[in-house]
Amino acid sequence: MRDFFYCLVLPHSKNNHRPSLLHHKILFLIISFFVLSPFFFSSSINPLGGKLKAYAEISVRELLEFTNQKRIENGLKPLLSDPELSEAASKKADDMFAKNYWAHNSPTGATPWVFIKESGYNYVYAGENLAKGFNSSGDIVNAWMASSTHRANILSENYTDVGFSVKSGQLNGEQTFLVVQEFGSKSVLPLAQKSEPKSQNTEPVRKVLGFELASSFTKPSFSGSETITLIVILSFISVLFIDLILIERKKIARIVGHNLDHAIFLGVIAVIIIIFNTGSIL
Amino acid sequence: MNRRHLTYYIFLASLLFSGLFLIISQNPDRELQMMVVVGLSFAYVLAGILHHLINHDLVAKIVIEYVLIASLGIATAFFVFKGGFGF
Repeated sequence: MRDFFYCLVLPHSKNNHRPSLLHHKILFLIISFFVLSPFFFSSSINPLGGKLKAYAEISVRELLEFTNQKRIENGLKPLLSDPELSEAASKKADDMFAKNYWAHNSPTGATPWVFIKESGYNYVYAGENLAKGFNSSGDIVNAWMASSTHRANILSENYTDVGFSVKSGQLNGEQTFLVVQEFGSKSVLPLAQKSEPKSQNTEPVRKVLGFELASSFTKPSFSGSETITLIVILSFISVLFIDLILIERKKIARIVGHNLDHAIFLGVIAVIIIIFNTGSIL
Repeated sequence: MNRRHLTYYIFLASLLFSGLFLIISQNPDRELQMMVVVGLSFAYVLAGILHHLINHDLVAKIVIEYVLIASLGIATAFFVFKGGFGF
């Protein structure tokens, strides 16, 4: 076992002075494993594809709890969960998956207000926050709170109701899950300002504070699969450097590619995987 | 490290960091990012082959090694892109 491990990571006469991990057959096996396993696991474990655990860790109850916690901390009244706004959020998430877009407005021009109106919620104030690619409810609310416009939506006195939807599906070819948060208020004015004269404007006020913001990104949150992938890549980089140092010391001539090239390339791939796991809000 | 190697490493680093910049600029469009990963891996193989060709030490074994390392890069990115093991 010890010999096997040494041969796997160290250059030795038993492995032709090249760590077994870098041998073509082993590399081919590892590549095949990474290419085939998503198809095997996604079809056998979860019909919706990957991120099953991540999906399970995000719940509407928690999102409402964390949102209201932030409001209470800032001296505001908690929002009430509204079934009509939840229905609007659900329809918005379905529409994003069906038409394959990541935006407040659909490619056909439908604004968030269309979904809110269709659900039967007669709003005066309305707002929308979106998130995708996160692994927990807490991370999502924290990401929104870190963005000034999304934070303003969460801490707005204008809203009294909220609705959430958490859905998993394919977006731009990626297996992901979306979180839609719809805010609304049926009151003409915020409760704190009820003594003031009522507005003469009969048109509903449409206000989405997160709307003008381009996608922003937060710290990556890794699932088990991503952690395993990063460990494999870092192991390869380590073995390449160990091999480089030992062969240089022993002055052994070999016909192989440059280890430094491979290490730099795999390092860039590791950074890309970290970027892949960066949740985004809109 | 001789001058030729240094030039090659500067070129390789520029190539990879340009790809990385492209990937960051395309966030969060994962499909496009995945295409950039594939393109970047092809460019990496070509750069490696050209370098060894200039150094007159290009053999099939080296080409296979570059192709396999590039494939490992694509495979790991694809694995994460497709949702991995589902957890």
